[in-house]
Amino acid sequence: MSNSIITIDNLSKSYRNGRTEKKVLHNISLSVLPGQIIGYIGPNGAGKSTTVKILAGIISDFEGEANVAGYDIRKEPLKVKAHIGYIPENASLYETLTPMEFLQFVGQLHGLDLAKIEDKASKLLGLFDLKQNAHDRMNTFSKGMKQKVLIISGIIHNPDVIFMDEPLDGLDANSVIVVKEILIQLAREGKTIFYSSHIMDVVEKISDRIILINQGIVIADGTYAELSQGKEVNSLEQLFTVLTGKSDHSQRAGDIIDILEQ
Amino acid sequence: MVKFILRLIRPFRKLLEWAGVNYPQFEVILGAKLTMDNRKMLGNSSQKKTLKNAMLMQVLIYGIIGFFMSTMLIRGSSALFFFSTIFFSFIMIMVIMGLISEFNTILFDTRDNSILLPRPIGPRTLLFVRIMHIMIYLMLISLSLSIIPLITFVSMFGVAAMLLLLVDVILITLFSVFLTNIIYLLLMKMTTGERLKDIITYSQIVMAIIFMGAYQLMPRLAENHALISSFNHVQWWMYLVPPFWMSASLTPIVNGGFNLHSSGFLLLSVAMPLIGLWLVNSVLAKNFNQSLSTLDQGDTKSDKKKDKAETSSLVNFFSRICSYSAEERVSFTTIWRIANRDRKFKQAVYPGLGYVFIIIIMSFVNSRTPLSEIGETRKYLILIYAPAFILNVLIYTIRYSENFKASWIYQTIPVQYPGQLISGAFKAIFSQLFLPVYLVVNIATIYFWGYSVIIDVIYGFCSILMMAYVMLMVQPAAFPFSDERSSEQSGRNVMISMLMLLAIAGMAGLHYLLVTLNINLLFVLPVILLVLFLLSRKYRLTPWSKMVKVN
Repeated sequence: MSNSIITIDNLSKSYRNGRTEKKVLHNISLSVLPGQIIGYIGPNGAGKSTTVKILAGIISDFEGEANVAGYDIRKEPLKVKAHIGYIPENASLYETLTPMEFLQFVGQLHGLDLAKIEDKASKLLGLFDLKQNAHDRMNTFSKGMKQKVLIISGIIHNPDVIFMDEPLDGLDANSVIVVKEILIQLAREGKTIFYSSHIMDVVEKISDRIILINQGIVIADGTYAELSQGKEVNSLEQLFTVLTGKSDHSQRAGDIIDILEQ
Repeated sequence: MVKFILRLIRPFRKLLEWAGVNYPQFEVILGAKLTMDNRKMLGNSSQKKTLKNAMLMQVLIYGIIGFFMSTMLIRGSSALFFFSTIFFSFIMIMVIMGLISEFNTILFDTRDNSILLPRPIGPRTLLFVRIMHIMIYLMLISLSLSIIPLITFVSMFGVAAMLLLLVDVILITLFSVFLTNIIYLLLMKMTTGERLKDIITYSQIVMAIIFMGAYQLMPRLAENHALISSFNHVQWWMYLVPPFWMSASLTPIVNGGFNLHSSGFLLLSVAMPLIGLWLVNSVLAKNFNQSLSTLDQGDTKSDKKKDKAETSSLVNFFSRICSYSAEERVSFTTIWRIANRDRKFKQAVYPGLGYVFIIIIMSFVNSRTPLSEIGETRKYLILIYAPAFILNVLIYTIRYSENFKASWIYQTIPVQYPGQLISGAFKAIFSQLFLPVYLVVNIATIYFWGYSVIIDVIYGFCSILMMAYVMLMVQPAAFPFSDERSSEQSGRNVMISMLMLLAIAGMAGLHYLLVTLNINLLFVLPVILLVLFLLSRKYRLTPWSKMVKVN
């Protein structure tokens, strides 16, 4: 599609471990329109984070083609990075810095004016209930507090596309609601959200389109309504179970209890 | 090995149980910790080999220091009191400082809090596991220091005297461990985690400087006969200084002349380690688990003022005059802040700062030139080039951090030349750590040698900076604080270090040659400045393809 903001064509990626090579992505092709919220889901080790890292320009050795925000990732990675925000999974921060200092650092490297960064950062930190911690070093922050700083650092430069890898990990319930609402409102303004997560409940509620990946292959792509059509499921969680072919959960739980009681 | 160590400890089971330790739990936890240590050490990977070699090297260095101390005994039994006082003092300093520098991580390890604290383990068991774990390594230090003195004792005074020395070594080690633990546990009661970590960091720096200084000083002390002779009478204040308890009781037993004073010292040397054990156990161990769990809870508020001050004029001033682009400035400011706050970075770099002064002091102490005539010599070149030692440490330390995973951020930013970021980082640590040392040292140079050496100071500064750029460029370009510190001791760093030291010596040699040949440095300076400009530009324009991929 010509007006797509993300296009992936035959994307493959392998990791070499000694003499063996493990292929984690198998010829993935898809395109995303501006303003869409994509819920990118799959079991552990399915290749979700690898896809996100390739699209964010972090992994550069891959096969196939990938374009983001109108630029070829391989040829113009800096232009891609200027138009995207990336919120990684389990990300670390320079914890001896304060949130304000970290946001100044990131913002300035995105070419923002210092005064503007300080103003935006201060307001955003306030909205995430971190105003009183804006000048505290982050080494004593809880996981959720760090995650909030990370989210702000991914959106402070107002990117066109936001890649999120488990962004709600560690956040309290109120913050989860705020982030969900932010994503919905950003999408309304034309921003594209590529949201990779295990939390099915959130994906189901916010996504316009759900892409399910398993063992490096896209096995389902569509809206929740489209994907659940003809299947006896009440939630994305149940749909996920059906699509990934793992429906023996209660049997497994029973086996575990049996072992414990031995 | 683990089983052997555990078997060695088993005879003390009753004593430990008397102290309130659950011995089966104690043995299980200690066994697991020693097994983990052992696995770090055994195997074939280069890192494991390096660890093993580092440990052997440590034993060897302590052995050599022990040898130097033994040479004090060349004067025979009259030097015994002096020798044993120095020897026990050194063991005490090394044990206390070792406990502060390396082994505090074992005592205050909060990483296994989530594993151990939810289990039914008493605070005394947990504390004594940690103390014993540390004691095993500290005994290794004490015994490596003692190998040569013990052999010397056998040959000079017989086996009984040697055994007596060994018992005293164990007693002073035990006393030092308990003394340090008492201080630590009191500190834990009085201060919060962050403050305590700061105190520990600075103690570690002092320890490293003492160690380096002692290594230089010990052979010279051994040669000082006048000092040795002055050390023959018991004074009242000696009762207050622990190493004297051992030396003032050991000497009369070996040399004869045991009296009331000697028995007082003997009593103290045996009783004080036991009193230390009782104090640790009965007064301070009770809340150890609780203190451990609060250790992670820091006080960020206390740093606010300092952080704000640091972000203001000074950093901005330096970043403005040193940076060519906005990117370089951002990196300068951020790295300045991190370098100023990262404890591990300080631990690695600050001892180097101390060592610069030790090099300078030692080279002048050894010199036979009186201070009044020093202006006639060309020794100012030592002052000009000695601070370059710190650059060597800075260049390979800047890439390491415990927080190295945070460097993912560099992969996400749209900067055309990452060289601007590494250049800004280098300039930040250069201005923060090298520049002040260089200025302080060379104000002294100008004071002693007069204004005529100003041009030498400027020339030296430029040639050191030029060499630093060469060193930065011959190694893979890495983002600051982007690598794990465990690889710090790899052979590559040793090689860079050696290269850098050779290069500094070469530059100092060239400087000496120019001065000797009476070539005016003003003619050479423009060439150095041009090379410096070209090098710094090339470094600033390092492309992404040359960067080491971050983790």
